[in-house]
Amino acid sequence: MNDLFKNNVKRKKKLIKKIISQRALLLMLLPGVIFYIVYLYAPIFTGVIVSIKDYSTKAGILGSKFADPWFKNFKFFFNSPAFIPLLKNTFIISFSKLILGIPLAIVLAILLNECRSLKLKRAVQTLTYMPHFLSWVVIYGMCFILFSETNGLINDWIRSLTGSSIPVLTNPSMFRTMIIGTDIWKTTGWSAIIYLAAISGIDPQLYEAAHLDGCSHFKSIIYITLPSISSIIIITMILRCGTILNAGFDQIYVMYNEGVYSTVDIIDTWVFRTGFENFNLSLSSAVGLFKSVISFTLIFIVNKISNHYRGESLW
Amino acid sequence: MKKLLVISLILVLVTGLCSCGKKETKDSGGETTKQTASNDSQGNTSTEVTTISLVGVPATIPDSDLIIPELEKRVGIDLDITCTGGDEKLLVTRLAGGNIPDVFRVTTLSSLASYYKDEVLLNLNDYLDQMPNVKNMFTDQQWSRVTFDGGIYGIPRRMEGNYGCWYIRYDWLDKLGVPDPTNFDELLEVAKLMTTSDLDGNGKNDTYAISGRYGATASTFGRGAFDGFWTAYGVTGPETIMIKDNQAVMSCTLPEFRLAVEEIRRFVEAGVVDPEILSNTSDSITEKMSMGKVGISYGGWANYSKPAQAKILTAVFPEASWGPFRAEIKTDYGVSGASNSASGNDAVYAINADLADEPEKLEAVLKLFNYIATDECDNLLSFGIENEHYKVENNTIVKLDKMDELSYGWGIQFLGRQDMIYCMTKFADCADYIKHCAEDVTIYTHYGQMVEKPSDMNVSDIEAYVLEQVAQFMFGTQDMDKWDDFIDALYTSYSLQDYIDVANESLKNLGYIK
Repeated sequence: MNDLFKNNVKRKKKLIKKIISQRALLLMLLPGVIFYIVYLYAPIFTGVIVSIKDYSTKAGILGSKFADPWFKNFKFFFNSPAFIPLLKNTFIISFSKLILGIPLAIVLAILLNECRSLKLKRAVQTLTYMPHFLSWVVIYGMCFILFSETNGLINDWIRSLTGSSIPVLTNPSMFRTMIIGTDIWKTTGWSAIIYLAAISGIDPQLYEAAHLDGCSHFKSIIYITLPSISSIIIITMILRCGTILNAGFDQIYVMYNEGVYSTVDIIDTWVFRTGFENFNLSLSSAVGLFKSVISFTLIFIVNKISNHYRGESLW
Repeated sequence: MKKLLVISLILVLVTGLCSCGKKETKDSGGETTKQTASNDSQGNTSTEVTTISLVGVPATIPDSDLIIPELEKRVGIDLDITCTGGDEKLLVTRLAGGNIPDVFRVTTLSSLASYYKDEVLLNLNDYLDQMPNVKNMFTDQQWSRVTFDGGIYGIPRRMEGNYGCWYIRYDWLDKLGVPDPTNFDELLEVAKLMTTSDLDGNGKNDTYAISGRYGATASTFGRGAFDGFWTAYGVTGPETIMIKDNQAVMSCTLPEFRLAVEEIRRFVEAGVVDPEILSNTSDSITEKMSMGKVGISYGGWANYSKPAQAKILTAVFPEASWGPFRAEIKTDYGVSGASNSASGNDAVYAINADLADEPEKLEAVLKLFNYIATDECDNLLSFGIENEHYKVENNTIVKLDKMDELSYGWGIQFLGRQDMIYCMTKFADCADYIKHCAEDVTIYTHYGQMVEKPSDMNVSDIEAYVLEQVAQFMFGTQDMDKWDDFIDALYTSYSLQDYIDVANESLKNLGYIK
């Protein structure tokens, strides 16, 4: 008992000593910590509070009355006839972006890495990551110029070949493909950079050894490149799972129209329409909270799975 | 280490929250009155000028504007105006943040109702006597629209006349040698000819006779592609609330509405309707019209007949002559006309409830609105400054050239205008069209904008669903056999009846339903 107490005191003294000795570093850390608390953690608390209240601008966050029952805003969202379609659309769009986007980025990174002409490699890389810097409004304008049924370039060709145009911008099922396609076009080049960086970190001796043993070029990609960057792939996957319920608000809000609500109306656009434009801020918070809980759960599960099978995880 | 971290976390959080709370109380006390020393031209007296923040002016006021400074001078206040382009999101953000402007423009009566519930609005009952001009300007029914539980919470706006009607290219009609269509069969024939005859002469089959916009935004800009169709069948837009047999109904549930959709489908199947109606913007329609890709479009006279617009529309084809339909399209159910909200342009101005604690500021606001409601100020806001933008001859206002610079004038007519006099004076070139739209076009009214949105259901879900489904029926992605299922779904999964009940109640209170 006495020993334990002594140990404890010792440990505390040690800790204080450590803090004092590293006070400069800790002080430098402080602004970051404060930033996180004020802008990221405090909003979580206020968000939770607002979501179970009938938020009134007059009374403020703490002064507003509690909703009756407290889960009223959640119930409103879950009972909405739009809930199931919204969730479905969000998942379909998000998963497609994830499932198609990551492999394409990896393939692009590998191809760029295999490219022997430095000039070509640079040109291709610049061209592919350029779209990342375009805003969705610009991209929508480009889509319109290409796919417009009255004077769009591509539709003009199609019409002159087949006699009829295709309603890419207004047909619900085609439009979803369009949303996913434009997103992949915009992001692939940019996300390839991280894989390219990972590939360039692979020890060249591995390739040399494999080459000596008669390994073909293609085989070395399969057996050396991919396994070497697998941890990066898994980490980006896990991180992307955390944003699975963000199917791209800015993109869809700019591009959609009344005719395609059935396939591309996602949780965020719905929240914007009902919560923000109709001045129901508690509802927005409740949905935000719901999204965060789902995202956190997903990250947690995916992380666990990855840890279990591969021993690689975020924490 | 852990404990220390927790303690410091809590400490920072608490201080953070406290500062948040403090900020709120300060904000809810209203913005600080900027008391500036006199800045009038003489600069000799040092009177205190009250600053009033005003959010929501729908037009952008240019720096060269002379009207607002003149208004400020006459009333003796300083106006801090925020232009929002008619978008209410900025206002919502400010309200949500507790940063409430002194005076703000609310675009629909439904949102006025939700702000009322939020206790942001000042009850004007006690103050109306201080604004006698405003009090006398509006009818009892107009006041009743802004009245909730016996209190008046907004300042209405004078009604504007109808601007919209169906436009057609008459030079094409002449080229084709066909008479004015009077029913849908004839219209379809004309549309087919316009689509297939390559009237723009570019050798390509790229013309669609009928164009315009569709959906929630269409009505705002007066380009609803199908307004002519709806009204010809005696109904208004799909998601709007009409009164039939003294009962509120949603337009799309009426049997006539289905007929209108079938009619549109006939046109779509014939290939004469612009397939991009869903994604068109106001600009893209103008472009298509000027490029000779469209022959029939619905719109306001201001879109087509104003000199500046007419110049754009004839830029490529100087012979293009757009004009309103000379004959109406008739069916057994109605005639093609315009569908307007019964509340007109229903934007109203509301005052921040916190001003009750700031008598000085409140007095300035009341003085401002009372002055705006005078004839003197009406001339200022409608026509500009005397002898600069207009002159008075024989008691009538005569336009001077400079008046054309006041293209933003509509945005600062805070209480509306004497519409007919205004339009006829300012846009004398369009007199025929203005008269036609205001007097000859049959108007069908809808009332949804005046219905208080029930808090336990989501009206925008219903509206979005209706717009989306109707679009699918019109463009043939959905079979007409499914129409009844669609209407059923409205009642079963979207509880439309509850909304209709609320609408009946609201409209009864306003005296539209007896």
